Amino acid sequence: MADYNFIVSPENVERDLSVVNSNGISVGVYSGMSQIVSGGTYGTSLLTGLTVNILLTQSAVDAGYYTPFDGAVMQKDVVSNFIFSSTTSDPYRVYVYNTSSEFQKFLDLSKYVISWGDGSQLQAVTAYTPNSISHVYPSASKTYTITLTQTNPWGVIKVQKNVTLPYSVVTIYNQQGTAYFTPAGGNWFGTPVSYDYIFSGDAVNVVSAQTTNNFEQVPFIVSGITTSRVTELALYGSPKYQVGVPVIKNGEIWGAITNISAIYTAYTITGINFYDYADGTSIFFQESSGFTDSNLTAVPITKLESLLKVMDQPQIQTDVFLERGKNSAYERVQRLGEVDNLGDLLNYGYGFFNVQKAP
Amino acid sequence: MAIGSYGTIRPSDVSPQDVDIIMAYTPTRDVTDNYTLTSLNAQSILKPYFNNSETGGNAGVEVLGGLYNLTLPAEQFNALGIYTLYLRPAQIRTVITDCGVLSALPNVKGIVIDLTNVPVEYQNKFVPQGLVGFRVEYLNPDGSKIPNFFRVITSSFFCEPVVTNEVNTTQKSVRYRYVDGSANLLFCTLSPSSSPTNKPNATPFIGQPNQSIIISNTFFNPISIEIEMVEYDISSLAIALYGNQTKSIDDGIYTIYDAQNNIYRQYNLYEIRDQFNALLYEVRQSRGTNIDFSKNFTNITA
Repeated sequence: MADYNFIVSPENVERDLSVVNSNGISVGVYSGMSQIVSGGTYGTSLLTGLTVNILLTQSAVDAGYYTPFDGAVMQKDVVSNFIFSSTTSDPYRVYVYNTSSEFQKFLDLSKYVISWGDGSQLQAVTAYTPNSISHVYPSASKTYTITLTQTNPWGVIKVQKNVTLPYSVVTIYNQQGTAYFTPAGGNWFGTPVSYDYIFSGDAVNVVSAQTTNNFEQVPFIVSGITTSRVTELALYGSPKYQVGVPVIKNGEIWGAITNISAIYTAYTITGINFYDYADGTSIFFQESSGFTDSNLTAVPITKLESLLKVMDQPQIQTDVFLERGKNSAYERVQRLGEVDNLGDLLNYGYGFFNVQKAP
Repeated sequence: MAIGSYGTIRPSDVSPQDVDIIMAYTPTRDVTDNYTLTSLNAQSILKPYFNNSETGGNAGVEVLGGLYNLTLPAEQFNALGIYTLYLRPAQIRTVITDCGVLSALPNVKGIVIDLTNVPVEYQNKFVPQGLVGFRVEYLNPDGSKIPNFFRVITSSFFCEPVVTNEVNTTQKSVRYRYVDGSANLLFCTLSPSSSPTNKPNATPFIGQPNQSIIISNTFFNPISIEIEMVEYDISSLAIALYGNQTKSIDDGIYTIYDAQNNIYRQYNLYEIRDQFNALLYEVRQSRGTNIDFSKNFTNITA
């Protein structure tokens, strides 16, 4: 069965009838359809304007749920690492980016030193990616080993990567790099332990690579009506409202009144301009640039195949909770799903469940 | 428990450039083996409706969506019979240049397509994220199509190869990384391409290098349209029964008119007698295309 059925017969195409002039009178003539489709010059069809209307629809299905699973997991494991790059225009200058985890609390006391591998002096590294430090090597075809040494209270971690100069094409001979860890104590004291990294850090992970970074170069005005917020700028004492006196909240300037007149009161809160008029209306003005770098976070995403057509992450709903002690303020309540055998029930139940062995 | 529902069928605003139209013609329904199959140019015969001042959109610029006007070309629809039009998403035929993984995310697999192997008219689709939602179907080496099998493109970005060292020196393990700006290689991730958790070594097939593939959009659902060109329909009988008629006594021309007094059919009426002038037959014989135009209804009744 077709989606559409049209029957074309002489009666519903009479606009295209053959018209004959008979003694000054136009006479429309037709007969069967076979005459119409062959009644033109050289037996061509008379139906030159035959059209039908159709409806095209799309069954749209969402492509699934995306999650920053992969990239995030690999980054969490990074204690000490770096990546390097160069350019063909300046092939002996190598840029090194310290990709060590900047935000891990236990790494706060770490110090970083880089050895360029060409006999030059060790260089301290104090910045993290996206900042970089550069080094110019002698003009010769040679491979150097760059070593980033991280010294922390628990030991020394060295990450080594080879760079072959002059830089020409994108060929990573030791793409993953190797990390050496020398424990500061214990049975493995002084014995280097090494492992390869799986994160090369070469993915395009900048906002400019996203397709939604269309921000306006010249900010535009966003305005509208609202309710008055002037009470947020009230001062202690009297007078309660003063022009030009900033109001501090949480250690930062919250806003200030800029003008008080008989017609309106103008004030600024967190950079947004408000005008309260005498008739009780309030309007605000603020500039915007759309999506900008500051409100986009670029993270690699990957798709979970099992969640195709799923619009949200699955949730496990349970109404059974188990208190398992007070390890911290946030661990008081854990889901029963973590207790999957009798031993766990005894341990985490803290005596709440009276389990008796069957005689 | 669901928090709401949403519809998934939307009026399509596909460009005629992304539509293929196939026409099958058969003269009657009982000789359907005797068909002709041809392709029509969608860009010239399929036209979307645009908004006007009545419909509320941007007049002449904003496509109405869903509603399209299809012209039936006179040079094709020139005979009685059944015409079946098949409108499907346009097919882009190319080959897989390579299958690989991303250098930074080795568990993300995909196919690599060289733009130089893509027909020029479709190369504008091969841009970052331009192929998302497109369907990939595969051909066997003998040219036949693998039936009941397809993959869906979930992302597409320009890429370049990255060479890595392998222990096995006879295998060249090339990985790919995304690059900004234009390049001639496009890395497309497909779904499904991940192994099931209960059998991690069962990687879904997504193609192999140098394999011919068909990439088609999913901008609209394929439809078929049947157009039946018939000699008469039921309105013809109404004309014959209820239409105006004239009979010229002098020359015996019998004329039937339609509702607009167009000459619908003309006959010669005469009698056949024997040598004794006895009436044998009364005959009504169609004049075919030999129409006597002087018998138009306006002339006669004026």
